[in-house]
Amino acid sequence: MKKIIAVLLALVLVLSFAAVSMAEEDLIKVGIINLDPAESGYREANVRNLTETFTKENGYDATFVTAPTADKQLDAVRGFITADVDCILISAAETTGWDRVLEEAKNAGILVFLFDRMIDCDPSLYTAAVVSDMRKEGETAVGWLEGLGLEEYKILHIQGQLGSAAQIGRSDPLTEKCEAEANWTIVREGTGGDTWDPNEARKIAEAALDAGIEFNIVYAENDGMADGVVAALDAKGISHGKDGDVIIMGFDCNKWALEKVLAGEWNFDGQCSPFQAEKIDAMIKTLAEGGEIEGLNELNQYINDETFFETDTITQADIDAYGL
Amino acid sequence: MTVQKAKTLTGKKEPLSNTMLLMLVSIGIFIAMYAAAVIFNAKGFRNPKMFFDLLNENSMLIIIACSLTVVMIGGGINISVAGVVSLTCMVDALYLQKSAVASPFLNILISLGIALGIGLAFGAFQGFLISHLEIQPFIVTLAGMILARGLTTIVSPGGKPVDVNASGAVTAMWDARINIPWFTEVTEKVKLGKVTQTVVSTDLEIGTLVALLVLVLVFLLLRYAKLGRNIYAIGGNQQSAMMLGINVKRTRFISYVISGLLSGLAGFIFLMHAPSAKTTVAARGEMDAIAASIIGGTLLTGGVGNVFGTFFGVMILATITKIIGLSDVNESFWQNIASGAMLGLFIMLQSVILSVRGKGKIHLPEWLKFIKPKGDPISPAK
Amino acid sequence: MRTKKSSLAWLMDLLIPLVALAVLVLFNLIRDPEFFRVTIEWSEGNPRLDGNLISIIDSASELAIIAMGMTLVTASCGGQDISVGTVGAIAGAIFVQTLVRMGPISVLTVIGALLVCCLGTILFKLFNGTLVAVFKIQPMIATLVLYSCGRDIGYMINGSATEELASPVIRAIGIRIPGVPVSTPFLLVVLVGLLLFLFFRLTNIRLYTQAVGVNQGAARLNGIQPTLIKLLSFVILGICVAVAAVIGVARMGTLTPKTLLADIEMDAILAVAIGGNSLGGGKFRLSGSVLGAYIIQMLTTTLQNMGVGSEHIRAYKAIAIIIIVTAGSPVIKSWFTAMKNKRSASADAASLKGVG
Repeated sequence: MKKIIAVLLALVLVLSFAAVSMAEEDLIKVGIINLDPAESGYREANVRNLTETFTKENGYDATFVTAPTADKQLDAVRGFITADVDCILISAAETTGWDRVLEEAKNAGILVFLFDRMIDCDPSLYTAAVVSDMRKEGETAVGWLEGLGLEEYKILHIQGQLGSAAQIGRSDPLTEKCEAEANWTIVREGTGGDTWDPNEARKIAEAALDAGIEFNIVYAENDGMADGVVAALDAKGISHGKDGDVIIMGFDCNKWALEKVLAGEWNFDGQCSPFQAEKIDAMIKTLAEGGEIEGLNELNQYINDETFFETDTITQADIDAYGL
Repeated sequence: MTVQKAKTLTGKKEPLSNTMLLMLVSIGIFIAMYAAAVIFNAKGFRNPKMFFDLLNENSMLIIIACSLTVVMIGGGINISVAGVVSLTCMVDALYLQKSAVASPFLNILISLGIALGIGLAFGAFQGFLISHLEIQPFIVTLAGMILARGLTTIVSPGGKPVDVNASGAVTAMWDARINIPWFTEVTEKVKLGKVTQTVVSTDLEIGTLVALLVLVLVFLLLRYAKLGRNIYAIGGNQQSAMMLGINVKRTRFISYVISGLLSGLAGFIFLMHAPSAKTTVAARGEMDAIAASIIGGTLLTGGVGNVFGTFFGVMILATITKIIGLSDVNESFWQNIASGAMLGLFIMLQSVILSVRGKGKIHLPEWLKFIKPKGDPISPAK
Repeated sequence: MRTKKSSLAWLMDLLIPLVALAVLVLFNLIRDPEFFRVTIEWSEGNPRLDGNLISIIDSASELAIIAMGMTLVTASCGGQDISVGTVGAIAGAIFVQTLVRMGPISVLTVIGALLVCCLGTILFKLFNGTLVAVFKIQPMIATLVLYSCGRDIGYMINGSATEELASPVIRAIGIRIPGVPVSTPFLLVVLVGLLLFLFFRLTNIRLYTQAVGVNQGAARLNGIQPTLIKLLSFVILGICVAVAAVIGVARMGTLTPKTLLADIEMDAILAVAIGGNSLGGGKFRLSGSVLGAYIIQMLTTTLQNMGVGSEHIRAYKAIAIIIIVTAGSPVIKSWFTAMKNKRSASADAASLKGVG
């Protein structure tokens, strides 16, 4: 009896997923490499946007690979080369180290599209990049802070995934400003390390408060982390938001975050649009019909237009239109 | 293996020890899986390049799984392997970035030396605590893993990834691949309606060759060297080993040193494969290595194991991940759940096979009867 | 009925963790005499205890609860369950999803959701338990399966971190009940500990569990069912995980399946080991594991307070663990005993001489 179980288990093992892996013809084969959707609300919206756009009905045979680290992403590109796809879409975990692999893809005749984050390399190695200008996001935020005209800027700086374009883009303008101006100080800096984890942010804020550090601004590099800090502030009974002691800033414009901005609990939210799929879809279809892609700058980029929201000016219509 | 045979109560030669059986099962399943993938046209599997891709991507895992097998055969466990890999990777990357030495060859040598040195330090330190102070291996290597990962973070410059592309040494290593000409395609393909000349080359990376070399060396060590047989002995039954005159403490210590050295080597190899060193290198690699060893027939209790089985364990894990990854199952969490389910099924399968065997109820079909000696039911080896 | 001898034995078992605790306390006092000062703050008209000590006890709550459950599983199965963190993520997801579907949040719905979530964790833990007890697979291997995909199951049930539970009841669980100065997570630790203590007192479970852990065959010959005992220990661990997960969710008010109770399995195993329990199964002391949990948390808080960045904390933690475990190692222990014997032998000899 047990022997039969053993044989059955073996059969189930082998056949169970051979069934899910068949290839199809006549559709444009696309390989999409993205980060973990559980990472943040932004990522989840981004993944959903891609899965909804690159469907069979739309003419694509799309394979989605979740590769959160640089080396796994390179392996995924090689896998797609072996699988002989037509296009590869990449949201890079790191900005460097792509040259060799992109060369291999080019040699194999595969078109490479970047989305969400930029890569540091020769523009000829990719066909187009539909990205957000992260640096501009950071500069917008810092500009908004400056516009408040405060006497002193004591900032609790919560960074996102270290080494990612998003983190670098949002951190650098702040750190540069703080070095340049005397009344701008980063009183504590912390990070989720390799994550955008709200719980880590909460612990960082808690530790800072326990150590008696004072701050009047929280510059959190995404909504989730801002939420973590707010949880720590609430636990200690410290007020925040429009009429509070601490200014709260987040990024990504999740719907729930924008609602907090509207309610006056948060002050600022910078937009980072996760919707790149339609643009790339249009580009691929243009190329397939023999046309050329328009609207790219000299780095072959198409930059998303992004804005920000603050308590004084945000409306419910904004939340409905922009909230993730 | 000799010790295995000596322990059989009936005195007759054991036809198929548990290790061999489990290894054969894992080989069988690997072949069946790969064949099914090819037959059902799973994406990319019809291309022979896929097999080499699997090898290249998993060279680091093969080495640390080997190192773990050695320790597990000795009855212990080493959870710090992946941590040591990440530490050596980071330290080597920093060295290569800042090195003032001009010759790439010398750079490679020095970084290899650093890697082995770190591995040796961890192996010796942990080995000492485990063998001479008799602290439980799980705790010591767990602390070792936390220490290694912690050191990696401390050493890393602000947690940012360390890029080694600019280093001549590393580029030299990357470029040093063996191209396999008869699997390299130079064809014309139609992509998005345009006909293009394409070159898809199949290479074997240096790291992969090193990994295969390590496999062979460890196999020879375990099979033919006195040290190897001693490791099997202390894993099988420590008391008997002592009575046989084996220095249990020293053997155990050496097994951990070997494990540490191999982990350091794996870190060095990984750097040749990855574009940069980051604090998350080889995250959860230790669990993958343990899983691979178990699938390959190494038992946690010790005294049983075979590195070729471990190799197939790695290949099975890699194939599962690859097939699922390239399949139509798109949500990442489903992919992970599917992987986990596969692993679970495999573990249950193993246990069922072993228990069926143990109860002596296994009846070989006629055409396999030549494996079994006349008369006796197969008695359990362990 | 505790005899004097057994009290002493209890102390000896806990010697290592107590010494470690004493060292940490002293270290902090020397560094900053105000470190352990506890103050009463008032916020929104409610009293609240504040201070480093309170922070430590509060933050360690999830760890302490899970350590208790882990002790039982380690004792009966001789191995470790490394899936506690990931199953916790599943528990959190079930809790949040059930709660959201139950309408406006009140104490009743929370308790209901907690029960459903307990049910969920018990199911998963029974899966683990079956692999261990029936299929005779090593605990670490059996739990490897859920370890690798548990969080993904949690994500599948819940989605990303978008559910927000903004309700005073949740805040009461995660932070504190208004009017009560002590934090609720700590109260939950006490509750769970009390329940387990009563459970052991009123039944023979403790004896049976230890028997199964020490020698399974002998236990079976004595009429104890090892399979049942092992499954029971997994069930209890499941309940502990569910409670810890609910605390974790309530703290933040949202659930992040990827990071809820992250790395807690390793900390729990460490707590069990520091507490003087053998990782190979057998005799166990719950109090030791709880002590171990607080020691680990105190370590982390001490380092954080010293300004050590979160990146460096892990390395120091590892070194401290190594020191503690080395001090508790059998070799060192026997060395101490030998030294003690030598000294008492020479003292005896001296006194004999004095007498003679």
